[in-house]
Amino acid sequence: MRVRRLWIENLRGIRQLDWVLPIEQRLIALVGPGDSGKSTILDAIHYLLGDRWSIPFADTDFFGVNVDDPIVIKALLIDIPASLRKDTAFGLWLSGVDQDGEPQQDPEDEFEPALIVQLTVDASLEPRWSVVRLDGTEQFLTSSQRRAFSTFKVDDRTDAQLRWSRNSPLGRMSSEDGGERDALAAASRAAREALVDHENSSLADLAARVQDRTNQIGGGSFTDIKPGLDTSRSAMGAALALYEDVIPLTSFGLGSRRLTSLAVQQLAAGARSVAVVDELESGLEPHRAVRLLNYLLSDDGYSQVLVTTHSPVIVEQAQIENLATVQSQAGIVTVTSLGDASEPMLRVRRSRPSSLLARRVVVAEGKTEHGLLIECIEAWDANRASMGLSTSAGEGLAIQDGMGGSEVAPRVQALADLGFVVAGFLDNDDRSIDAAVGAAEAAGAPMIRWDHGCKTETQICSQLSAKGLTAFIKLGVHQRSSEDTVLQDLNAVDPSKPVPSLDVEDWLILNFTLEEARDRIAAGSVNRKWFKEVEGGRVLGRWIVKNYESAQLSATVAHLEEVRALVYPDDAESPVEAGDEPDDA
Amino acid sequence: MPAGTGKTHLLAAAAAVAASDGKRSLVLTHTNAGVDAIRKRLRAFGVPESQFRVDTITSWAFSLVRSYSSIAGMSVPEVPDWTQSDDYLKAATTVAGSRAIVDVMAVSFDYLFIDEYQDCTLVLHEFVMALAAAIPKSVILGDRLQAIFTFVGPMATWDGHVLPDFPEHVLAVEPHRWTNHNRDLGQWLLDIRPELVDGRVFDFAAHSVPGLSYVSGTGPDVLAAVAHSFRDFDESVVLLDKWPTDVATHASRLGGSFSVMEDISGNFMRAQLQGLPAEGDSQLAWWFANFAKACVVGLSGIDAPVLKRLADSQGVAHYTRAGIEPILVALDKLRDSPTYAQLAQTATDVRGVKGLRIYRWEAWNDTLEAIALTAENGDAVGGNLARVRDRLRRTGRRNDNRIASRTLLVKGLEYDHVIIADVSKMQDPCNLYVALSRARKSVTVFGSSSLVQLRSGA
Repeated sequence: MRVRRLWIENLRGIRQLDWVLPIEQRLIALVGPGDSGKSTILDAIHYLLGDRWSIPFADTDFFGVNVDDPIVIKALLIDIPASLRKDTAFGLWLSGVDQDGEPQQDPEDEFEPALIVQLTVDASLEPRWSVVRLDGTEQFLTSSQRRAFSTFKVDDRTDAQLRWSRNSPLGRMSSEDGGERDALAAASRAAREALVDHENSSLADLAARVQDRTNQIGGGSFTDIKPGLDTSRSAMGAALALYEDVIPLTSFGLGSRRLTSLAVQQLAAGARSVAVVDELESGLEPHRAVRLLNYLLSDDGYSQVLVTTHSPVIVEQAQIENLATVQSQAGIVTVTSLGDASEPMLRVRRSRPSSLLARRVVVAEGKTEHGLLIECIEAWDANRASMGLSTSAGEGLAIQDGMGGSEVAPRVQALADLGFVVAGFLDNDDRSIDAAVGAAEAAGAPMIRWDHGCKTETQICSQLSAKGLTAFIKLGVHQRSSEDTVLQDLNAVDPSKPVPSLDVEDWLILNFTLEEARDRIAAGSVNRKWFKEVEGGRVLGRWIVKNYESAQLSATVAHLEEVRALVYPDDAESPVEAGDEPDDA
Repeated sequence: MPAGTGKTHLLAAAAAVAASDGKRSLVLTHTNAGVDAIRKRLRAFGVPESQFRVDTITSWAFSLVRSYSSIAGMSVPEVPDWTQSDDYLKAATTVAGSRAIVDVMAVSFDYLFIDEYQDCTLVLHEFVMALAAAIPKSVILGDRLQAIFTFVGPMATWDGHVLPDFPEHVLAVEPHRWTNHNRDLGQWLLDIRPELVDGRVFDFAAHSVPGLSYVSGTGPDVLAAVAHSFRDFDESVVLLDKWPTDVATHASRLGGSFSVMEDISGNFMRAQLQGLPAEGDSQLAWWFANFAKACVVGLSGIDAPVLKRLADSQGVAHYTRAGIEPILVALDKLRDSPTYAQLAQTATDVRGVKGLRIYRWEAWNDTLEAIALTAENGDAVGGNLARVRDRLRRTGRRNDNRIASRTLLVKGLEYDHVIIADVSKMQDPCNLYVALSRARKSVTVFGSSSLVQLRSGA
């Protein structure tokens, strides 16, 4: 069975969602900034298709805590299990779905047969499951019928799955042969008889299967999983639980417990099950998370796997077709599959996977600008933190190195198309990219550029006094590690007119105008790549921050302020403390 | 398979065998009485409910059309209108042929059984063929000699339509139904089958078997003498004739000891209710007087003068009519306050008068119930009658031990004793065979001649 389309209304942070799932993908990883509704989507699927008899809903589960608007979770299911296609179940309650995921009243030959299932919760907080059709007719759906959906969720509450109880997956699998009752009776007898060893073969077999499966999906190297009597929750009486040698699995780390829970639930749900995993990487080292991902991508035991992830490693390792971004605009949630993403989007993901996990993205021209922004943002963050305001991390910011001016606009546009809040930060000396920049702006993304004709070094130098320029040259000396090299760098710009020293006051006394000095220094620093790495950009950034209030940097700072407004949308004027004259730090 | 040789038993046994292999059966027949009989038999065999579905062909067709009206290309009301059966069947044939529903059938059922196939029209047959294409194994059962029907339209012929798709499988038969009643009669009914064919002459005088009697004559007195000779009231007796009016006349003349069986759609009641005046119309008393006369023996006192005055909305209580004065008073009351509630009260009054006997119980009860429903829900009385009669389809007929009926209505039913009121009207071999084979213990045949010229369709 698979979910073809999902609708959600008024569930927690989701006022409305209408998602047509990319049906050719078995695994869908939802990515996006925190609080966009990813986990709520997984919960909704689990509430709707899981087999729990009832679910304790609370007022806070309603969007805006307004119980007057009922929670509605509705899904269009395809590949419906045979037991539900029978005349006695929902054989006479089928709907259809067309190629675009649009539901149809009847499963006519040109459509795919489908079942529309719905969960509603109104102010009474009583959940109500039913099968509905477009004409408004409705048929009650029992929890045992929901069991046929074979849908389960793996989250941090794993302990129940590692024990035998009436409703646990292990208990259900064993109840087919009564092994649980036998073993419990035997176990308590054994306990009475001074803990004589007992091994019930059917339970041991099951435990062995769990062990195989858990090891397979990267849970680690269990060698002796077996059932044991768990007396740790004495208030609830002893229970059978899974043990590795003498240690109950409930005492293992979160990652191992989650993997074992996944294995157990999948075995119980049977073939063609739907798994919902919140935070795939939770509790797992990156290599185990990636192994789990690959297992889920390839295992035929699942017909559909929906996961959320906050791990750049997963975003990077997954096929782009498996990723879908989740964006929320005042509760209107949109899920966009990256399967049809543009080429620039693919490059975005490759160069900076975490961009897909961010709420705001700034695509910077290159490494220099990236480094420069890092320093600025650190300073802004420190300043805001001291005032009790959120930092860039809290605003979900990611800075991405665009790897060149021509690449910035396409990437910005690709991200904007997916609903990201995104801006470009780039030079203004290359006229060939103006058209692309204009298009990105038209798509609603701010494109922050230096003054006309400027790249970063020329922009910074453009207003500096002789003293400021001398300080700038000192930064170059720091980067190039030698005054002679810097002197050569500057003279190489125009060997016919050598500069006398590294103190620009001297130049002015000789035959240089201030304008010529600015041009010479900017050209030298660009040609000889003084600041062409992230570290170089950070050096520039630190210097700018230090001299943020200087009139000699006002044009530069004006553009950086544009970036700041984007990073902290709530920001009022919060100046960075600094001296008047550029100093020689 | 011939009547009484265990067709229902065989069908249920087959479904039981299938069920023990974990297979599920869809069992379809024509009538609700048939559905009821099969269901009871399956339960008696201990077949779990989850292993079978029993329904009439048309109501299964209706369910499919109701669920999938877009595929069917027709939308249908919540309560079926059985005059539209053929349209339902045609639409259901389309539904049953669609990919998704073929799949539903295939996952739901392993076997398809159709009972009484001799009653299949071509339209029904097409629908069955669509089902048979989806369900892995199909078995049909029937007896050509019991092919009498109310269905309209061309029938599926045994040679042209049925045998090419369903190879014949003939079984050795035993007259099981008669085992504890009259085995000789049962064997005789099997033996005469080859003689009951179009064009031949059947002579009752030439046959002698315990339980079979031929009585020369068709007058009311001889009929009454025989009809009232069955003293054991635990034994059931059915009096059969060909036309509805004949049946009613017999029942009336027998003074209420035999009750008229109504056809399923309730045509008699429908005709009566068509003239039912609205509440507030003083003609209601006139209507009720006519209705009562049509259902009750002993109301000859409500004669032309009385009816005339009621028609003119004048009082009748001053007339002297021995024994039924209370009814005249009740009719006046109804004339004064012409409500359906008052009508119900008048009906109760009629039942309280000594010497009056209702011979159309079924019509009496159902008509009054339909009127009561209308007083309650305000719907048209015709629709309410349909609702009341629809219940009959589902729950089956109540057991009356003395019934006057037509052959057509007693198909599939069994009685201890059968009286054929006028064998000259039973020229159709199938009609005659069905009439005779309803009897477990005895058959009494009345006729002006013991010879019957057999003519198919007569």
